[in-house]
Amino acid sequence: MRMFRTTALLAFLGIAMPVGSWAASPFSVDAVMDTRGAAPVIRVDFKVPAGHFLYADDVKIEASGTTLVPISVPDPKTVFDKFSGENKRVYGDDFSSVYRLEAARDPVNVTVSFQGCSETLCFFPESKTFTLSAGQPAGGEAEPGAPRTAQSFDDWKTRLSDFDVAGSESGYLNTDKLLAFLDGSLSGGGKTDDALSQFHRRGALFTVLLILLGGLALNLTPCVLPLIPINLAIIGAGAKAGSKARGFALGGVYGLGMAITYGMLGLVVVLTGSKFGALNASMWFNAVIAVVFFLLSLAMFDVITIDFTRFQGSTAPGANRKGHFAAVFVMGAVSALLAGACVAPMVIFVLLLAGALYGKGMALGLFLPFLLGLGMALPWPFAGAGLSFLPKPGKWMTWVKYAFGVIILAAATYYGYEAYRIYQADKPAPSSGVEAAPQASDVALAEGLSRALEEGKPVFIDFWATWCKNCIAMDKTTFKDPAVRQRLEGFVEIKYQAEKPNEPPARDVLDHFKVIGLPTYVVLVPKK
Amino acid sequence: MIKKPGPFLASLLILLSACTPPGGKPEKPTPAPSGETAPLDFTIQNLVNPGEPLSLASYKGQVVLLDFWATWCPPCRFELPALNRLYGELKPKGFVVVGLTVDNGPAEQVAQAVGKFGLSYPVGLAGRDVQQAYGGIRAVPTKFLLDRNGNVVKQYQGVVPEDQLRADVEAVLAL
Repeated sequence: MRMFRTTALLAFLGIAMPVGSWAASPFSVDAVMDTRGAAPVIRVDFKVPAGHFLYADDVKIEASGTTLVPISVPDPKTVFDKFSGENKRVYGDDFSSVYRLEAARDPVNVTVSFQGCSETLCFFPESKTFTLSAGQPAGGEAEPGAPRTAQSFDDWKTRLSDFDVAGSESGYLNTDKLLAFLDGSLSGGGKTDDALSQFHRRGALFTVLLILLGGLALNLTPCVLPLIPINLAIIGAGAKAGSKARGFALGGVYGLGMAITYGMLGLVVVLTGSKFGALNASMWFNAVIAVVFFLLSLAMFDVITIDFTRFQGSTAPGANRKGHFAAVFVMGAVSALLAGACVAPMVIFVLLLAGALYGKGMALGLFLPFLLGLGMALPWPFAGAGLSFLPKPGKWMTWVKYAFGVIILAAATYYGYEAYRIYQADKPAPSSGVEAAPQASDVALAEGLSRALEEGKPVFIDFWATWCKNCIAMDKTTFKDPAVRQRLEGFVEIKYQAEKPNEPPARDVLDHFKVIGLPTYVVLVPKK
Repeated sequence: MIKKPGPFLASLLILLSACTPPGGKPEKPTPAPSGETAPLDFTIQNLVNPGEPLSLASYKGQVVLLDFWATWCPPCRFELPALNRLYGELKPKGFVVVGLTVDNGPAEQVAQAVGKFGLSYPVGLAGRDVQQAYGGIRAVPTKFLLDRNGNVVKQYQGVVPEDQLRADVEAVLAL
């Protein structure tokens, strides 16, 4: 009632109420350039007061003359907006985004635009431009009182001393498995006993069976699965005129190529400590695979005839047959190499066990990766034998061959593109560009760790790379699942991109977390 | 620094601020711009009826509720039905709502966006000058209640409950 009197009094006295000028925007933004890594990164810090939020879709960060490549951009929360009755993606807390410059620019103008609201009020869209330079970390329009220096990028290693590793898991996980892993880690059950004690618990025979089965399942990973029709075509082409026995033998040789190569791969990892599947990050590897597939597709179209006798140095009548065996063996080897880009939990288990047994003086342990390859090879002799049941070649067979040729050509194109993509990614600065992404990932790691410490949240690290097929599959399926997204909101999520896992600095980080292959997920909890 | 308001005005403001919704507390008050003509007057483009301009002076003698809003602002949109209702109810008593959008972009485009809300009261496009005349609008919704003489008797920031708005308007109408 007092209000009525006041307004009435004011009006009665004829006093015009002054028109208020409100406080400036409650949001603030700052941008810094960090040059401690091999390539500079841009970090943009947003301050969002309690009860306020920024609309994720309206946050735009642009650099003059080049493109900003996101390294770590936090995922917004999805909230129900009671006013519009729709779900909105918003940032409700302070957050930082880290980018790298696609092309080096110094100084660079970074323009940050955003728009936010409080519970009942919306603030005008804002836009700020910062002039950032390597020599001047806090540049441009930086808000007074918030001078930022590169100091905030501490070494991730020192920050790690405040955390305990609560769990670690590798390979493709579906939603249920990932959630179980997260829950298990937080309840203290995420640490599975090490490979050696699992081996002792299960017994040698059971472990061998388990490894064979695991190997069998490797055929179903996204790395090998697309190759199955190709390999069937190659084995089939050799088996078409032959007997069941010949088909079986061809399949067997194919499997042998697979098993031996996979065994060798494992051996290299165990003995040298390199990262599994890293070969797939090489441009040359992808290029060679593309060429091999291209030649094979030409053979399918009868454009060329691969005459392996030349390499056999033999003119014996059986040479051509032998040649086909050689081709099939090589394809088996190629399949195993490509399979290296897909790491399943079983692969990690085998590598760890092999390393542990070898470390105890049991050289037989080194045979285990071969066993895994053998498991992968198991179905192939039978597949080869099965192909020999095909009717005798005729006109239809030519069309089947052409169809396979198309599939193989597609595979060649894919690997050719992969090679090109890796070449492009490495191009900007041949000497330092290679390290740019991992370095930036290091910054994101250190940032994420300190954020987790501030908020008292556990940390979820996803080690990935663009060449890692299972990582991409995870991003497209499990990590998109709303249940997973919701669960991960309780974590500080760090995506660590290990594009070149065998080279520092990525290698240091992977070694620290005992990551042998990708994808690997690690859960850290702050020490009490 | 902005001129300090007199002690009398300051005490009134304190009284007033006790009634304004949270977040609606006017800070750093600036004295109303003084001038011979109505200081807060404006003539702007009318988005609902493009033929005739929208002029505050033409509502002299009526109680006016100025609503600064934007089509992209969810809380603003939330209030529109209430304002529409209030206008329909109290229009016969000499009350008008004037919507002032702060949207950026070509007038036709904004008019199209505004058209979707089916507002019965006049809506104009408020440019920087109009925003500046009202103290530099920084956030929406922001509303001003003007008495029959064109004096600002109340201002609001943020969503205001419909009941409170109706009570305030009726109080000013009853003067």
